[in-house]
Amino acid sequence: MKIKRRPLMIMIVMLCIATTLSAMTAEQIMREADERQTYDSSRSSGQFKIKDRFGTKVSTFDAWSKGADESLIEFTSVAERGQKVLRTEDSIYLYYPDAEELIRMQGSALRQGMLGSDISYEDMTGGKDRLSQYDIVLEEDSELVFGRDCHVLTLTAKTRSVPYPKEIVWIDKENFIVMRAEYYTKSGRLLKEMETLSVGTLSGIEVATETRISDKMKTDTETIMILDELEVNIRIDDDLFSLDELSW
Amino acid sequence: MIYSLSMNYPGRSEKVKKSLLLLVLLISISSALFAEGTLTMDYSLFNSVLRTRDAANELKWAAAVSGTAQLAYKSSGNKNVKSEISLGLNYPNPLFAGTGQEYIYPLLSLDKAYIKARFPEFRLTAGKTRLSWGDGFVFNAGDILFDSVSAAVDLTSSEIRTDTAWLAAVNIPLGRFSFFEAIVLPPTDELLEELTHTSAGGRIYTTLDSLKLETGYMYKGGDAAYHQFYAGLQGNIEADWYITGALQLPADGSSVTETLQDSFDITAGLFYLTQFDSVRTLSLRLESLIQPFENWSESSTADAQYGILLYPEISFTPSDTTSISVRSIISPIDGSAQITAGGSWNVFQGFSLLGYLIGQAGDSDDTFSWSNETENWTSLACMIGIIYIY
Repeated sequence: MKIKRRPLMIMIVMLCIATTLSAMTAEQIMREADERQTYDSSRSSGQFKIKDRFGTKVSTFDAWSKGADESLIEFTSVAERGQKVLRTEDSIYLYYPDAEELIRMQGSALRQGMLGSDISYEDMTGGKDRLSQYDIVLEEDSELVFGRDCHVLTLTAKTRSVPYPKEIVWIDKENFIVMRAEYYTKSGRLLKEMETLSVGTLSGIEVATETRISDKMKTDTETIMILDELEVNIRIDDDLFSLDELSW
Repeated sequence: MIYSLSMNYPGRSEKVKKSLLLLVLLISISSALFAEGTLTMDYSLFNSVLRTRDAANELKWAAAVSGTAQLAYKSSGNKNVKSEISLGLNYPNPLFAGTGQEYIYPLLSLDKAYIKARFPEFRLTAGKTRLSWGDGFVFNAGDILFDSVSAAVDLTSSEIRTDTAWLAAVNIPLGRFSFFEAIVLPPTDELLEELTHTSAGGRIYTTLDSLKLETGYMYKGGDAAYHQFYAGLQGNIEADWYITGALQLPADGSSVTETLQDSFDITAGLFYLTQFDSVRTLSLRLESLIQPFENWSESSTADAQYGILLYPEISFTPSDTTSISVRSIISPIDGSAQITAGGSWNVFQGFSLLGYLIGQAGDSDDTFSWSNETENWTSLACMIGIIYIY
């Protein structure tokens, strides 16, 4: 008996070890997701579409980033054409071409979403560090979203400097792209939902090229963000992130 | 009357008007033929109901229409050279009635006409345009080019200060976040003006740790020439703050003390922005204009210049397409205020609906007044309008 039971025990122990080795912790999943979206530098262009019952309003932009702190965004759609936002480590500079006005902002402005969206400047620059901002728990290790096998994580904010106190995110097991996210109030009320509508390969990197954000407080309103172009880890001169470039 | 207009007055010759209209046509045609530029049209139209006074000094309710149309053509073909020409068609704003500039027909104006060229070491700007010096949304002592220290502003505008002038400027970068800018403003009152009527100056803009420092000087030429100086700081302690001081010294033998006292302005402001979620944003702003040598006790005349004016503003964006705001200019010494409450709704691409309620509170001899008996004095106005940009 002992001889027969021993291989079985060994197999069980080996399986447990293998399972432990292959399963990622919540922190590892989030770190991997953050690192895959962190670039030394990038250039991108895209558009936001706000859809409601009156139609669709489109804002287009070009953006550049370098390191974790520097980004430059230029609006290219008609109503705001030429307006630019330069973000540095401790300041945001806004440039309005019609008034030839340069405005410097600090403090809370740094934490605002880009173009009034859920996309933070950290998202733009790739300097993501959700591990330091949230307590993260792995809720489900496998759940299908649009046919993709995903980890399900719950993020509870450690700080008030993030837009939502609680988030649930579905992260693709293969490419670590957030396929779906739900944003909640502290009391657990669902405010918004984000879904990745398409994933594409831009400059050899798999990224979410089209995402939809729907406001659960309102009906018939959604924001679509489309990433048309992306180049990463390219050579960008420091002078691009300067007041001279901003006000040109 | 507290309001004034910095617009072109009637009297522009028919020849000039025809030339400008021809220019508009040429721009439109050339933009269609060549893809080297972008053409933008910006319309705003308002209908207003006003509580005002007629020539017999009787209270009356009046209706008025106002609006602007601006056509801007910007070059885009050369990455080192930029140019813009912008023409405006202005229909009078009824809020400015009573300023002695009454007219009831649209006026054509050349708002911008400039060329910028970027050289390796500096940037050159020449033509009619705007340069914004100093900090401040409504009160800005650092704006010594356009004197942004009066209460005569239209708080329904998204941009309060939009004056332009013929100028030539050189901007020299001194690092990524610093620059020196020199400017010359030729006299434009007469075709051939005295050389001494030319204005010239410069400013330095730099950062020191988390502070922004800006200081500048301008010689203002003319019959009563003077030297003007300003220095300002901007930083953040939870809220963004900014403070600027400006003063003048005579260049024509006038009394130094009198000029200093008349011109010493301090403007200061606080700005705080908070975001409840990705869309809903609340911003708070408080600015002040302090003129230490003006009146610090209440005067019995409506045109008295007081030592302090305040500008509080609350603005809330409840959704991607709507915003509401309350803005006011308060004269604390005589206890009067002008209050503008309004909202906008971006309904379609480039198309927004706007509504404003503007009221004045104060006695008949205050800076702002509900019961001032001057002809055309508007104490309450309700404006509904449209903006369309394409």
